Amino acid sequence: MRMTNNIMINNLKHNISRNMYRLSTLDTMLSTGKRINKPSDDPTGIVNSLRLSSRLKETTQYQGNVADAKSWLESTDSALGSLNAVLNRVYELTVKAANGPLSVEDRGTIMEELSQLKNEVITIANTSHGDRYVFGGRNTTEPPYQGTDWITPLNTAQINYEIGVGITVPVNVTADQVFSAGQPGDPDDPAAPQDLLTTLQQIIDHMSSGVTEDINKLGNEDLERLKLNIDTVLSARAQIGARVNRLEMASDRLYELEINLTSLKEDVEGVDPAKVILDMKNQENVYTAALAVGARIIQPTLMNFLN
Amino acid sequence: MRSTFSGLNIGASALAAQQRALDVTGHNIANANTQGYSRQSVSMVTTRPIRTYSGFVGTGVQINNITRIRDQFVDAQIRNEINLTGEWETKYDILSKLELIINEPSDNSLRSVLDEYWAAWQQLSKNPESSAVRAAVMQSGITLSDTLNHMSRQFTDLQDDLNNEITVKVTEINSYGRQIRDLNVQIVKAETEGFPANDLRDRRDYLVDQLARIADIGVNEDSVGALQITIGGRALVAREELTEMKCIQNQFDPSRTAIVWLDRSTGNPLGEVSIKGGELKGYLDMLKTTVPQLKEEIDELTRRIATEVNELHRQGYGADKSTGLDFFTRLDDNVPFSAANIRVNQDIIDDITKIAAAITDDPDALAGDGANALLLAQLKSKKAINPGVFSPPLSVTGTTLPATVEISAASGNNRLYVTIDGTTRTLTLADGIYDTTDTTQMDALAADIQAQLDAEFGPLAAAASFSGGRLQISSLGGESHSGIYEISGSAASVLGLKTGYNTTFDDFFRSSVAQLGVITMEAERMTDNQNLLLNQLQNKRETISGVSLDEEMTNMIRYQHAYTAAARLITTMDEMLDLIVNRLGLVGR
Repeated sequence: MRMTNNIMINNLKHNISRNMYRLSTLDTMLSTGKRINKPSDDPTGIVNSLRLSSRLKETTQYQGNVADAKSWLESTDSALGSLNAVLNRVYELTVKAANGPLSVEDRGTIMEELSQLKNEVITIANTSHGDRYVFGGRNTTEPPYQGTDWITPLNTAQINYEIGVGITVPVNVTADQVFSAGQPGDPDDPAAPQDLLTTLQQIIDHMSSGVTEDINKLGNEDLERLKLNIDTVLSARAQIGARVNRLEMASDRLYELEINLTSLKEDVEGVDPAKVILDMKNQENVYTAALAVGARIIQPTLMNFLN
Repeated sequence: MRSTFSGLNIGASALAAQQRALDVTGHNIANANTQGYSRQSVSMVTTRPIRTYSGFVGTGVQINNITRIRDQFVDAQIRNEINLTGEWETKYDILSKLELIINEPSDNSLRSVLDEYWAAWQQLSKNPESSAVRAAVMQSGITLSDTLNHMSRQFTDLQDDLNNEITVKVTEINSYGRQIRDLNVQIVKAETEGFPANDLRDRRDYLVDQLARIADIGVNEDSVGALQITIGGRALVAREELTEMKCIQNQFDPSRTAIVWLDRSTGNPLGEVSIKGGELKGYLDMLKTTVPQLKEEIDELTRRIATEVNELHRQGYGADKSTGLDFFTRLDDNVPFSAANIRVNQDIIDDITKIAAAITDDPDALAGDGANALLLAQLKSKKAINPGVFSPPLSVTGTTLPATVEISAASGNNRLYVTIDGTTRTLTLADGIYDTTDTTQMDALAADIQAQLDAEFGPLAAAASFSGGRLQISSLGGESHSGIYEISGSAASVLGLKTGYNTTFDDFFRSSVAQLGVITMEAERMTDNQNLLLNQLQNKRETISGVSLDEEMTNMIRYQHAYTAAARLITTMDEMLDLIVNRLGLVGR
């Protein structure tokens, strides 16, 4: 075959440019750390890569939601813990008042303590998480207990956080669930649910009246009512405990999911640096060889040997 | 008897011939790097011999002709391949630009912005009291609409660029055509005088190669050496005549340029040029299909997002108890939502308390009510769009209805939103418990809807009917782009009219990206293959027509030696004559 200098130059140009293109592809991979840098690099891979990115973002969001829900529920739980302690003390004092003949001073002290405890209950009812009142349902900006009564209407709606696609968890318990707020009770039936604060007020009233009939009521009815109220608080607390458990499980699951997604994403779009560096070194050799050979081939013509 | 001076004549013819051959060698060397040049070679023949009694005696040498070495078959092959190369290179170039517009994978692509947008609603659902979170929702909405606007502008810019490129290419075709026509004239004139016009032909072949890159051409040489060039079956150059072409706006689609032939004498447009290959085909194909298709996909995505978000946003309540407000509005209310035509409602930008995070208007619950924000955040995973459906559905047929359907303003399920050609109107249905087996009652309901459709959109826009236990609303607007885009609202789901969608926004966008990736990859591979093939063919042409410097140097030495020898011959002849003239007959002097 007939050969000319231009063929050799053309081939050399073509090969060098191809080598350089490959080198630059490898270089981009290495410098971005990604195997896929544009959709055409791997059209099926990019679908996975984009899906995993979105899922990962979603998972991070859900993790945040779970953490927020937990912190809300933990605030509520600690409030209910103190409420429980307060109510136990009230129970103790009421038992004491109902059973023993007490001196006027003792009764005065107990009454003083009871009214302090009642105030404490009101403070707990107005517990806030951040600047949001936790027992007010969706009405989070107003304290649910104002003056001497619950605000009307008392909101009892649930606040839901999303912790997975389509999975929501209620993060609040409302005043009616904890304090039996708004329950009128039945004067003849101590087993009927009654507002905790009404119960407390009744205990104080019965104690202060000094009438024997009232003192008897302390032991007969008020204790029973108070017990019912304490049960309500305990069951609300149990509910919160169950939710926190659920959130903890969700949190573990999301954490595992995050790790899985991250490693999958890395598999799909990441590069194996060792392999790419090796490829690149190899390509570099080919490129240098092409250049060196080019320099030798192109130079001599017949002219170099003619005098 | 031999002529005394015949030897001198032989020497002179040899000098002249070798000198001419050296000239040709020089010309070859000079043009070793000229584009399109094919090497020339001298063919020498003996001059007419003289008949003597001792036989024919040679009288010297003469140049028969100077020919260019060229293979027409390789030329034709190269033109075919150059045509395909032009087409695929153009396509690959445009597709790479589209990849840049789509901008995936990256942290500031439409997908990322959309992810941020849903995440902002998610945050608001947790913290609807906070005005900082509200502001974040508004901002991420603005970022989303800005990103869409920007993408749309990039698409339009690309379309403009492509149209400009087409105009430039058409100008090039005209210019090449003119030069080929001029060369035709010169070549025919030169060759009828008997000289092969080698350099002119090289130049003309080079121009034809350039033309083949731009469009698919037919090349035909006639008996006198003039080329006829046809594009799409019609002559661009016919011997000495040139028919020019021009770009005009496509009458059906103003975003596309059409190329038409111009009448030679009057300059009026004739018919459209049919382009079947080359760079122009690349531009035209991209302008006709891929670019508008991708643009339409982004527009459709925008339309669906805006519709879904607005529908939920309208049913919710802002912190200031406002309701019925759209989150996204259009820049131009006369045309449907599109990537270019979307913005965040100015009322919301002015007052972020209007963002409808709450689901009830219970005045005591508004502050902490983020239920509607949660519904909006959940749009991310809702199936709310159909892939690949670019023409809007012309009718919506509901599912078979249950025996009774209850519609009441109190439960809020009496509203029906009908979107025709981007205009949304709210229809309000009368309260009642409808017996769907009672055709009279259902016909009355359909008639009520019909009356409202007529009132809202004008008569003859859409028709509502009831048959076979299903309610149907269809457009009467003919084909093209008029029709019902969507029926939504709470009443729609009660009446089974909700348009069914089967893909999430994320999936829709991902499949667009994947499609673009596939065709770009194909274009890249084709470009690569074509370049390789073309390179080989060009090398083949080079082996035939290319100038080899070694070869030329060898020839140079050859001709130089022959020249030297001829000069020596003349010297010898000169000495012989000198002997005869000056020294003959001097015996005894």
